[in-house]
Amino acid sequence: MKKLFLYTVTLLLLGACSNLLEKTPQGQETSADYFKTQDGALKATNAIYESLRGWNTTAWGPIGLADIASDDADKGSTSTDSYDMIELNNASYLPNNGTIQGYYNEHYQGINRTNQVIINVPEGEFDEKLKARYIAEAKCLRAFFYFNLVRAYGGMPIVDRLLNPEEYKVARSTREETYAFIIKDLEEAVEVLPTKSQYDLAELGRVTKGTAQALLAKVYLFQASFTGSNEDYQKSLNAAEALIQSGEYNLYPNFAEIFRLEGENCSESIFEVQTHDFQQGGGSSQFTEIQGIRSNVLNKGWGFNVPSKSLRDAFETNDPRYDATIITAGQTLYDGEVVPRPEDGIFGDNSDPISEFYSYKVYAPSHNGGNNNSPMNIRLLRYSDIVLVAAEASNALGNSSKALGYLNNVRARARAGQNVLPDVTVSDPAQLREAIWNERRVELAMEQHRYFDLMRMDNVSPGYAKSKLVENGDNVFDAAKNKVYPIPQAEINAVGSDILKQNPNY
Amino acid sequence: MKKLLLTLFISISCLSLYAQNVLSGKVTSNTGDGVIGATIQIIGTQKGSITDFDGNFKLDGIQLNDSVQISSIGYVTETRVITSFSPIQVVLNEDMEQLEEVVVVGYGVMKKSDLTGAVSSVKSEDVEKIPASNPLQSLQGKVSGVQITSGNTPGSSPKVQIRGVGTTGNSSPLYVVDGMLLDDINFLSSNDIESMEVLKDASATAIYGSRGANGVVIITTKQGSKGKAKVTLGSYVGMQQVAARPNMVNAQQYAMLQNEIMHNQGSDLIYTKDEINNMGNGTNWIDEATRNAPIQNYQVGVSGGSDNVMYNITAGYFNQLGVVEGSGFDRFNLRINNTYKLSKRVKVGHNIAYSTYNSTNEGVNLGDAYKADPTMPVYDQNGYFGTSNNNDIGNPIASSYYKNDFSSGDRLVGNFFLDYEIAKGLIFKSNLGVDRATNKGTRYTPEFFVSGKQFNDVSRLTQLGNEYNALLWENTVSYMKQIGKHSINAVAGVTTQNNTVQKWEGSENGVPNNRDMWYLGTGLVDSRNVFQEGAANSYLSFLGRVNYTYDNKYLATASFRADGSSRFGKDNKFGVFPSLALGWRISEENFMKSSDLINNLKLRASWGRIGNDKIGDYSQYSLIDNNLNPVFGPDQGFQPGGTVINMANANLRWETVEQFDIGFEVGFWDDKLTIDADYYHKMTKDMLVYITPPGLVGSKGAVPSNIGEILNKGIDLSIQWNHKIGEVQYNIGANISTIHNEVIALDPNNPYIFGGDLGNGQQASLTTPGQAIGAFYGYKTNGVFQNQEQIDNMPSLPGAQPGDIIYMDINGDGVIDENDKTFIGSPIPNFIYGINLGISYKNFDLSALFQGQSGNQIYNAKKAVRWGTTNFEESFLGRWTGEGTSNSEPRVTNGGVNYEVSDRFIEDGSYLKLANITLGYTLPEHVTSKIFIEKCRIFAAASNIYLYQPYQSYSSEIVSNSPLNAGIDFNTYPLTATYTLGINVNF
Repeated sequence: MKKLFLYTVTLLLLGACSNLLEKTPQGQETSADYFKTQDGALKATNAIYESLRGWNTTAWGPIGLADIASDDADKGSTSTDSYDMIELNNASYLPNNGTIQGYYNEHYQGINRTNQVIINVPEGEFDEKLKARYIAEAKCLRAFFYFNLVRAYGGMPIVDRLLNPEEYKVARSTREETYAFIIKDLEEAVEVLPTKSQYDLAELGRVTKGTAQALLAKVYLFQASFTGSNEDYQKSLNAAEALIQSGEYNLYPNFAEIFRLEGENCSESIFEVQTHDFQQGGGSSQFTEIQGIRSNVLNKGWGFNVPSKSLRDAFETNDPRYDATIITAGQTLYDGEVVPRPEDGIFGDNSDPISEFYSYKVYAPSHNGGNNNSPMNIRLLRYSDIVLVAAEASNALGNSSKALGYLNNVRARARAGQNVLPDVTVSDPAQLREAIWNERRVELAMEQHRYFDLMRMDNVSPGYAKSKLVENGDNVFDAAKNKVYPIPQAEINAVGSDILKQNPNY
Repeated sequence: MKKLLLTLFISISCLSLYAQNVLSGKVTSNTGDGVIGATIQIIGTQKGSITDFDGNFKLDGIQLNDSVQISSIGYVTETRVITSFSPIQVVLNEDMEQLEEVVVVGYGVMKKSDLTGAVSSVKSEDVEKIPASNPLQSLQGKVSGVQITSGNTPGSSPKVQIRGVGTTGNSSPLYVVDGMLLDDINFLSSNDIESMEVLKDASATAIYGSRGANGVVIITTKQGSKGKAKVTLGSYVGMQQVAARPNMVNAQQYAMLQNEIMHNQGSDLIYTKDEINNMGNGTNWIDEATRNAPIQNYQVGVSGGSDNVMYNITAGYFNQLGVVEGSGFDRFNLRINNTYKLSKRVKVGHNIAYSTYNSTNEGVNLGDAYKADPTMPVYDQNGYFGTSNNNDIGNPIASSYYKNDFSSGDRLVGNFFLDYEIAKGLIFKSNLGVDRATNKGTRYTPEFFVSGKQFNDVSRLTQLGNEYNALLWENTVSYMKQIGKHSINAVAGVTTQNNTVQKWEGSENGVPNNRDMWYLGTGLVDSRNVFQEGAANSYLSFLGRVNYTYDNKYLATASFRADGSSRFGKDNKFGVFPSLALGWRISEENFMKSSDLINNLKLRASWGRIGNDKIGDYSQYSLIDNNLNPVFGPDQGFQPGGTVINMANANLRWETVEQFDIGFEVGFWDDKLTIDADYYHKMTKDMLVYITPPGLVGSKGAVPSNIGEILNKGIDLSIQWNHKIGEVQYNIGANISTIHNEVIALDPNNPYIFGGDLGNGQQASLTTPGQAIGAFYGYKTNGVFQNQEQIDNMPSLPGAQPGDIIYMDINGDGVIDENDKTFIGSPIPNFIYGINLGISYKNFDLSALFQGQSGNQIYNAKKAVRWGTTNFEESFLGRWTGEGTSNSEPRVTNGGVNYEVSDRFIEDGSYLKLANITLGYTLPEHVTSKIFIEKCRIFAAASNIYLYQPYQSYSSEIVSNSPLNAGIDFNTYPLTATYTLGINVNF
């Protein structure tokens, strides 16, 4: 018995030396070697795209920050629904606004996914060309995320690596540094990324050379609004024209159809979040549900983000884009559904009537997925956007004839052969700029561009944003404060207010 | 060795002045074995001797007609008058009362008198008194230093905190059931418990090393004893009702308040005057959601033994329906505790518990019942579910009707042991412990339509399963030896433990609404989603303890454990946890021995280091999250995606606690009055905590980290008075524990951990140095703006209007902003207390237990977070409606400035409840013996029938998932008042 005991103890002591205390994760790979394989690198790159279906990345967040906050849209839904959105609608938000925080956090979560690829994949041992493409995709997407952030909050803490706990406190870079960082990523991506036509069809939905060019054109245009520098306008124009001349894109003839299932990935599509109404595993987001018609009869969603009177009035007489953009109560839609009217008494809460207007650009006809999982792709970048960038940059550089050419291209497509929307002919730079701006507004209405565009325009023409917002009944907006949103309070708490400075006047 | 003893005897006798005679003899127990270390003392003198290993003794200096007293712990003391010097034989009988003075400690037992640590015991009769599924509930109010927060949900565990909250992570203690180390004891029937010992100080807990930091509860189950078979039957049945509830407004008041909101925000009114006048009380959804519910318990057992086999076999059934409609729990238990004596030196045995349970959670969601529109009927005139146009919550009864959510499972917990007595006093013990549990859950939502806001298009079935396995193997050697006045009790050992868990979940749409068809595969294949995960962790530990006593006066205990864990990276696998304790039994000193007043006085002090490793299994690894699948291609199919979305921490290590304890026990008048008091100082270092990193880090989840120091200090005091006057025996006891909880340090760069997420972007707690863990943090209020003039003259939040809350400008900068937030309360009580009373007269016995706490606050989150047009607590009726109407309750709004985190929502969390009162009657023996019954007792009991609770809600006991969210109430499960009748019969 004594021997047995000794034997046991010895055995146990030996156990200490073996793998007794090594337990590796079950059913989950660890990061060490994952990114070095082609399969892992591809999956890690794919995971960045998955984040584009995020609630605050492309749906609720930008709907609030870019549309509802702007003069294009009212909050919608019932009068008390979502205090976050009420605050965004009337510029009364505080640094603890949940949507402002969610937009910030989710974008950085996307950035982390890009950094996982950019940092880890270069060590991979597989096809160099493919490796370079994955990294370039990640850089283009990182630039996309930072571009959203810098427009929303100003200069950002730049995170271009994977942080250890002791490195968590990153101070803000200046806006200029942030723009420079974005531009560097995009320029590197332009060099490597395949064009839309060079990709296999099965890869449809990935960022392309065109995506990077389009972003570059927009980034320079935004930067130019601060610097006023011709060099920035020229670079914006160069990038836009490189895309225009690539022959990869054109203005899709039927404007209304762009926003239907048959218009997904059409010739005008530069960057589009692909979605599908899978029964299981999602495949989509609540993008259309948030903005869908709210009613007991035709129930498409929650009824947020409805076109404002100011937007409806901004369309020129008989602009066919009005009907393609705005749903009006009582109307019969392209799939035959009839939109109920408030007097039908079935419009949301009977005593708290909600909007008679909705965005047609996000209307989802019947499908398999349920309201929260509609098959409508999210159009992030369209060709007409870049044509109007080219127009605006040309005008700023003094080339009004070129500007008019681009502008009238867009109007010609919109008019679709009808006798409406005559060509613009003004050559006075200020008047032409105004015309381009209004064209941009109605062409891209309800597509989560407006608030950022409005702030950019205000840089060029101080007081512009206030005048537009007042027109929409918003008297609270203060350009000295609201041009950027506050850094989320939770973020300042976590990093420390001495390191992460709040924006002025919050 | 005998020579040594002899020398000792000689030296003792040399002290004597007169030459005297020698008495020899032998002391044996009633089993015939010699009693080691028994004291033989000549009454009225200091002269005495101690028996050797075989029970033999020699005593010098004795004279004829002297009386000698023969005593030994655990035996009834004998007195003999010496009439000759021939050797005497003394048989000592085991003293059942004295035996209870043995206390179970980690890896052994100890005489209570030798104990140097702070250990409290609760015995079976007190455990059985409380009608609850979990025996831990019975510790509430009974043991100082232990805070029990009742879970109330049938089948749930109460929250147990020993000596404060030492960590922002998991602060639950370790449970040791018959040597098996466990995280919960949900499987255990109260009837099977012999005793529960709560180990509080480091001297007691350090032997459990990395798992002892939050205290240890050792549970010993009932064993058989030698003798003929004894059969026990017991049962109680009872009724439970909701003990407290929030008061909501009725339909008329609701409509009026909603109209006011509309008026305040300039919208059209919802209800006309006529509508409001005709409304009446409407539906009280909290009444609809709750009910009176039965509780019942049955148990049967048989125990006994022969010389070589002892057995205890019990079976039990517990069934509790919840006071919330649709909730319930039942459990069947079986236990077999057997010991087999293979030879004089070898004993094997097992303690095996098997249990199965069923649990339903199909009930009404209390949050929905709180929020639901009271103008909505439960059913309309046509018998359909009532609907509301004004409120998105829907009909809570309908939601419950369409909800199917039930689970079941079984669990086997047991240990198999071998005891081998290598030599006298030297025992090798090998113990193999197992814990295997499987659980299965089913959730099903059919297609249904109640209203445009309350419907489900696609039916959905979810099946969940999990399986836990733990295997513990402990090999220890213990040694007990007495050499004269030196007594040694030592143990050393090696233990390993391996734990694994597997979970799986599958769900599917389109499954028919027929319980027989609730299997994966009956629905739409495309909609199927299957998921599985697993985890494992392991320990390797070396432990030792020496308990040394000199002359029963001076006590010392040193213990040590080295723990290795798979949870930490290779540089941090092992931690070392030592402890040291000293004790002095002053009452054994000569100058006090003869005191009539004080029969027992012991001082003790201890210091030790203990650990806590309660953090996820793979925190050191960056893991790839799969299923991050994008859609690509013209056909829009998934492509696989996966990456790191949660940040890891490769440098993670133990959380350590250093605890210092000083205390005394004193007994007066032969223990009529006993006082037990301890002061403790417990410092947590390198706290294990999931820190939500800054958003810019891009981690989806929180990151495990070692950050900060937390201090808990306080006094545990208990006083007990036992007395008998004639046939009346009574006892009065009280215990009180103070808790001072303070965060000493956190990450110096960012010493703030915000918690208490309210689900609307707000956080209600801030953990920071100088404050208690999870202290409430928000604005201080200072009344209500009565008019615009006040707003113009005072700082206010943007958009403030007359009738809105005035927030205090704490920093005086003329602006109300984040910098004006301050500490507005603490979820940790200043003190907790219990008072117990017992009285028995002839065949009647009556006992009562009061329990309470004081000085903590509750954040009323259910009121603080409004989702649109939800219902109102009655407190809203005192609202501001115009200048001079109210200076505390603002005008009604659905959101906005009045719903910032502030002391408006802070409530007093103190309470006092009559946790139990029991009246028992034991049938007279002359009656029972005629029907072959040894003992028969019937009793009536009630729990929580008296409740003092300033907070108008279901309960002031808020069970939270983390100390950072403590005391934040989102509709906690109601405290129940329970009335039971029961019977216990022994054959």
